[in-house]
Amino acid sequence: MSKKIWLGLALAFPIIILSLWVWSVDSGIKNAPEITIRAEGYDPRSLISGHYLYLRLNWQETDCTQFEDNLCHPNRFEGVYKYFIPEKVASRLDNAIRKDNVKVELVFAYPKNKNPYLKKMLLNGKPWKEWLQENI
Amino acid sequence: MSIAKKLEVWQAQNLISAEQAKKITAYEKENHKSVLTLPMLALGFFCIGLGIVSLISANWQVIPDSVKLAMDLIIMLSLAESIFFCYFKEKDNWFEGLLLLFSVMVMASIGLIAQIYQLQTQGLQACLLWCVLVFPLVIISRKVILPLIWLPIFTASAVDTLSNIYFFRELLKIIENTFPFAISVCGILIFAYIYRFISYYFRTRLAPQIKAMKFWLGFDIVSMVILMDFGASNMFSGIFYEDILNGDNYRSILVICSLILANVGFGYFSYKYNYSRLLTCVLAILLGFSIIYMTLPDNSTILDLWGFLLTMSILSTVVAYALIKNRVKLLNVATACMAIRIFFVYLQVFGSMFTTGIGLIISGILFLSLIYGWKKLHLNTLLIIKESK
Repeated sequence: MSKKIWLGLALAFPIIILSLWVWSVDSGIKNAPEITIRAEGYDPRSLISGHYLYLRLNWQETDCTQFEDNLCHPNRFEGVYKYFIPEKVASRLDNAIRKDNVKVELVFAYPKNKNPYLKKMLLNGKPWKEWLQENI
Repeated sequence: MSIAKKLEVWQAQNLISAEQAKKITAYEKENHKSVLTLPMLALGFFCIGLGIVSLISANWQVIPDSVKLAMDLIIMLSLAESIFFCYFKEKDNWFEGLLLLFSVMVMASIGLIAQIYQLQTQGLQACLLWCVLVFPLVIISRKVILPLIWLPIFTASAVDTLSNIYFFRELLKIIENTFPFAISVCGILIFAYIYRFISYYFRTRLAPQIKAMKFWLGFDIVSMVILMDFGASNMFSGIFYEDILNGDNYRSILVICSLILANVGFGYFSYKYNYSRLLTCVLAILLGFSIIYMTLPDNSTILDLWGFLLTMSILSTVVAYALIKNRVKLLNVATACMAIRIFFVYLQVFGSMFTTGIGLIISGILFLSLIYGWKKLHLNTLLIIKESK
């Protein structure tokens, strides 16, 4: 094979793999049922690291009837999740999560044979952006 | 000495004619390339790439996710086209610079996808994915910059990911429990093997990649020697492995024997394929001193002397190599390092300026006698004859 073809393949390789990755994750999220799990700040001293929140799942306060067999499956989830947030609202969200009266929930796409995908964060049952607009 | 000065000397010595000197000067002028162009281009593109990564990190919500992904794809495709353009136009420096920017963009894309879909990565998995994706570009690269960046990231992320595997984690524990520097010595030895094999099989095809490996291997060895010399007593005080033959330490003996065998194997390979023996000697010194460390008592003076002897052994080997290969600059650097280290050992061991002064004078006389003896016995020529055989 000529050098031109090798160069073309080398440049196409990351683009193709990344596109396939996006397609696989996107279709996995779209076709999977949703599960909502209670969460809480993982470390109150440094809740924000960069521009994401550290959140730990709280299985005690999670409604397990959402699952097909009415049983929670914590082993299919990570213990702690990072939730990426915009730089501008990072400190406001940090403060909001510290408040006791704010119920934090994470919504996951829950495909049958794949790892669950974290879709969105709810604050008192509302998407965080909506909650932030109403409360701060 | 510059080429112009060298030509003058050669002309004066009647080694070349005036016409030949003119031709050489003309050729050099025609083929002269600025040494600053590529580093500046690489730095510029690297900054742009990091800037894009930083913008993505800001996680701007104004633009919808699908638009962000489409923009990312368009940037990647345009970059790929520009790289092709530079390749055909033989703009080597721009080709390399854009290749670097494209590679940084791959990392930015991984970050963007992870951010949009809230993907959770463990440890350095994202870095490992980047390494795999840009590996073909590293191979295609004609300059040393991209391989130089890729190598440490790959090593760190591969070790981090492998340590999630039970077997590998256990293996690391066994090696770690053998002696304090065992993991580093083992890592350097594996790296040296890979370097030697790649430079044997792909010497011309992967010249920049081999150059990058050589740099990191040298860097690793120098860092390791400095760490062992100056950090050993602070890092490992109280951790001494005198009871190596007790309990289930057959594993430690197995690790030590494997390391010695691997070292011998490396030496044999280098000897068989006529490679320089410098690396073999340095590896053997590192391993030998690491093993000796286990038997030393927890005494700071003894550890200081041990560190001093290690550095001096490595530097003496480098001096011998420089003498054999007639590498004047290397010889000067190594001897200067030796002089500095000798000064430090007196301060470390004796403490007072008086004893340091007496010790230094004795050492100086000893070195001068050594040089006198070396010249009298014609050892230099003997060494060169031995090496050429």
